[in-house]
Amino acid sequence: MNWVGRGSALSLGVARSIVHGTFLISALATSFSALGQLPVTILRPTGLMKLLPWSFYDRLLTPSGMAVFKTVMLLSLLLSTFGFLTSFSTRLSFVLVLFYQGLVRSFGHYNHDEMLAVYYLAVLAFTPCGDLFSLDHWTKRKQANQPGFAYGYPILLMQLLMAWLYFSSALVKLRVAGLKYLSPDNFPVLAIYHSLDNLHDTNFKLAFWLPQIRQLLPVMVGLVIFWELLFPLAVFWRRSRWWILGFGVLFHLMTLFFMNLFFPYQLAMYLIFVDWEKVAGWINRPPQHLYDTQLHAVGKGQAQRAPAGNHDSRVKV
Amino acid sequence: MMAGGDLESDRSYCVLRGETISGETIDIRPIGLTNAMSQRNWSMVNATISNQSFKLSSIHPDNALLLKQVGGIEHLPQGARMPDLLTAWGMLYNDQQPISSPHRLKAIRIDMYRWSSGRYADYGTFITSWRKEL
Repeated sequence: MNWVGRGSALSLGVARSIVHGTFLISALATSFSALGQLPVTILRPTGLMKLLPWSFYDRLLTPSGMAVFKTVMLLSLLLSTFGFLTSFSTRLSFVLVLFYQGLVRSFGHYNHDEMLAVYYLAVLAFTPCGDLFSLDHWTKRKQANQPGFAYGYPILLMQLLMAWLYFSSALVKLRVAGLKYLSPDNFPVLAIYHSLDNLHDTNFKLAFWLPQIRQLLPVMVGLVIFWELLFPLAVFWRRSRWWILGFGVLFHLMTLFFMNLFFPYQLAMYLIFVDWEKVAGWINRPPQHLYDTQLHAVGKGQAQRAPAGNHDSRVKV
Repeated sequence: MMAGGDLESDRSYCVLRGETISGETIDIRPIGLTNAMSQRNWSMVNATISNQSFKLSSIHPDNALLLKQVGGIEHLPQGARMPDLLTAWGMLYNDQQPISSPHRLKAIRIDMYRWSSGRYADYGTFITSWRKEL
């Protein structure tokens, strides 16, 4: 229970801004009207989207239809990012983003980069994520008056979701391919395949260098699987956290440069592991020269520094 | 991806190209046309080539009509809706060019290649092409 208690209204509010803000920035940079020009006849509605009639998609998948959809989604994400009418706007954003993600998946494939962030939207939609770090709080519409558990468990849940995502990824690889996954040709073949066309977002050609070091690759692939299996430690053992997340950044940069596959949403979600309470403490700490002046003013020999990490009482008199 | 790569299997891939008014053939990256399909443009092309939208339990009325005209899915050519996709991409590309630009496209095409199996070479055996005049 101690892990749950570590969360705070501030951390949950910042998490809301990060998750919703990631989708907001992405939507701002995306041409929805171009999406609306794709032929609806190549659409393959997935999951619950199959329940909607074709006449709905015929109307939606037009430049004007998608422009309206973008406007509504941007407005909702703007409100939820800044925490205005948070209970309503986080839920609306969740529904709209979920639908949008379903739409692009109905044209392409089940890309998992954004899925973790979509799960986070679901978590945030039903938790008090607007009690601090929100316009609702600053306009006194909401106060952080819930017990610590109410703010702590959503953060823990989001961290556990990420840990499960990596951990289960390793399990699936081992279940589907077994030790064949460690074959020297596994990584170069996949990497070269994703580097041959010009339909991927990037066109790096480093993959063609991999066959030269193919004997080393089973060790590297094994290391990645080992890291995925260890990922849950990032939740429960703080000293390992930055090593595990740092390896994750390196891993996703490798997939970009060697495989032309990138996971920007997932990387952005690493910020959930930051202790925002501590960051706020650093930001609110007075500048060093003021701090020294303060020490001097207190008197020689009477002031001593507080233990590291205690930001509430830096000076003991 | 979870099953890993296998050097023995054949793999095919596609390259999007445009033919300009000035007679050049240029490579076109679809991410610059439909960035909403980031990380998915390639799988959209693969699904279009294999006529996946004709294999649904409830298909679009226009697709149902086309199936009726050709006499069933077994008579449907590969990439039956590729011309529609190419038209959309061609128009989006031309919309990004000035009216008088020699770089505007008169045609757009998808070229399909095969990486033959067994070794790290011979990546570009040409298979087929879908072309659309604009």
